[in-house]
Amino acid sequence: MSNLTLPLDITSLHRAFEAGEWTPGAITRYYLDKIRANRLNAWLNVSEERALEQAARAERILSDSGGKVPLARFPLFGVPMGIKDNLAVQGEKLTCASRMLAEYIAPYSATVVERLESAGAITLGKLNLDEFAMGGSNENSAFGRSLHPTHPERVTGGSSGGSAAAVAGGECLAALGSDTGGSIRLPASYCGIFGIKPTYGRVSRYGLVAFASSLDQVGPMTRTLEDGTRILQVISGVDPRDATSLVMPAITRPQASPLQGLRVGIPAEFDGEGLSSDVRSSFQDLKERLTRAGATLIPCSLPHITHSIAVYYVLAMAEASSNLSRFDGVRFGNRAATAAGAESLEKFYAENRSLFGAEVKRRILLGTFSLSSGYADEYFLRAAKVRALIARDFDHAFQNLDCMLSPVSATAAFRAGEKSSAPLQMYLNDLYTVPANLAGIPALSLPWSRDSDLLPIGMQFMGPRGCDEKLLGIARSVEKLRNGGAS
Amino acid sequence: MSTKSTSRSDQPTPAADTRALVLRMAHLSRLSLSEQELESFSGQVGSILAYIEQLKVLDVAGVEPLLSPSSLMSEHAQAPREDRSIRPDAEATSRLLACAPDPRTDSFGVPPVL
Repeated sequence: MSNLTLPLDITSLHRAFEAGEWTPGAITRYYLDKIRANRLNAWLNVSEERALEQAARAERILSDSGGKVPLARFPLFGVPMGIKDNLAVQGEKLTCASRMLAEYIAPYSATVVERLESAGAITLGKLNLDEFAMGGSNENSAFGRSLHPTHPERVTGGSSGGSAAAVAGGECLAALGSDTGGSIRLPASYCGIFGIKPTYGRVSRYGLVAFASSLDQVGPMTRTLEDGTRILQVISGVDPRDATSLVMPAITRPQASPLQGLRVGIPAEFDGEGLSSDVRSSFQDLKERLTRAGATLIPCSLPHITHSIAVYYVLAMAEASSNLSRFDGVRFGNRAATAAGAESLEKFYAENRSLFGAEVKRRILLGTFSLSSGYADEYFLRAAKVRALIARDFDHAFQNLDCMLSPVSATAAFRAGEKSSAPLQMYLNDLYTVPANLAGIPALSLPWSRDSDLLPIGMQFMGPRGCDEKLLGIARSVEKLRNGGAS
Repeated sequence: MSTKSTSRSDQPTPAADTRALVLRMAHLSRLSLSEQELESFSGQVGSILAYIEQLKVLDVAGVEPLLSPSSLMSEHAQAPREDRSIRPDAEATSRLLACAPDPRTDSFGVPPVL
């Protein structure tokens, strides 16, 4: 193993390649060693052969270009990455942390994975998650939760818990996550890294195993905002294979936007009860520093947002029950050993579907309820109407704002097991993150401070729909502010 | 179930008999539940449904449901794809069949259930 400093972001990595301090092969082997130890249970599968081949190719390219990183052609040249295990990588296992798909090999790659690999990234392996991305603590993984890198008795957050743990724990340079109700932002906040959920439709969902199709969005989880932005530049942009992907250019790298005169909305509904004292003081500190930097804090109101969790759990579960109906043990996935003796087709399906874990079953049941005859109007349709009101609240408020600010979560990472017996308490933990998914707006989690136990606390910035670049520009200035620099 | 009611009190809530409800939903979604699962889900589903009841106090008359944020970005929507089927080649067919628990030459194997 090398005694050299480990490059912790993409720019330092490229500098280290050019200085000859690290080679793509050496850095890949360094991470593969860490992954094999799997100290945090963040990894469900290692794609060693693939990674080493990609690294060898990178070394040939580097030598052909005289040791200079060909950035224009390969913006993510030699960047060792982890992929949340609900995204397809051709020829590699795709388990969704479920017994249902424990042996499933993806027959094709997700568009985001193809784009990363074409941009030169190295795919190290697949990262742990709550089963089918359903959960906020990673405790719903059929293969055990991933551990918080600095506080192993605490949860990583979820559902992209493996992604957050691996990045924060130094087991890969960057990762992809997916966010349906906060699944990128919450674990990013709990583990102290950046997590970005783009506008719905700016990143392709092709090859992402569907949980709730109208809410799911893929995004980067990284140590620096710059790295997250660089990954977004590569993975965003229209994809004809995902009909909901928007005809908009790929996200570009914005300039830091001046904080002087910036209009930052503070939703009244997010500024009150329920915040832990540590989160409250962190939030207060950020607001004061923004004000000192010349930003204007503007109280705003999103009157229907208090119903977000109720709306979310009706709609997300309805979509999940529909999406997961395909897992019947016939065309893909595992077949339960008991299914062979089933006396009816119905029992055959039911035996196979017993491979789902408790949370997945619970959501299928609730989703089936809100879509079933006699209840669909009063539950599913009504929730979709309240969703429209929530989106309208945001659009109305953004007419006079550049962005909105809130905590990511009411508390820092909680202890494992603390909420597992009370699903509703776990659901309420998504209060601050769910509204952005309902409205389809971009939102990101920015690591702002640490509490008295040194647990990270993240703050959430939300922007108008389609204005991802603007939001990233604001976050760049806030990151500088945090690091003590002038904006 | 009434569809016009606006107050919580006069609405029979499905939370009243969640055990029967959970059994019915399990049947509809082809899930077999153990007695223990049935017990715990009934309680949990009851409290989740009670929480969701809050939506009933809102006046949503005349509001168009939002089924996907795509409809709010329609100026950036993709044109509908041409209605054309794509015939997979033999290689793609065998690659997809290989994902099945019991692949046969050109079909999915299932046990006899009649």
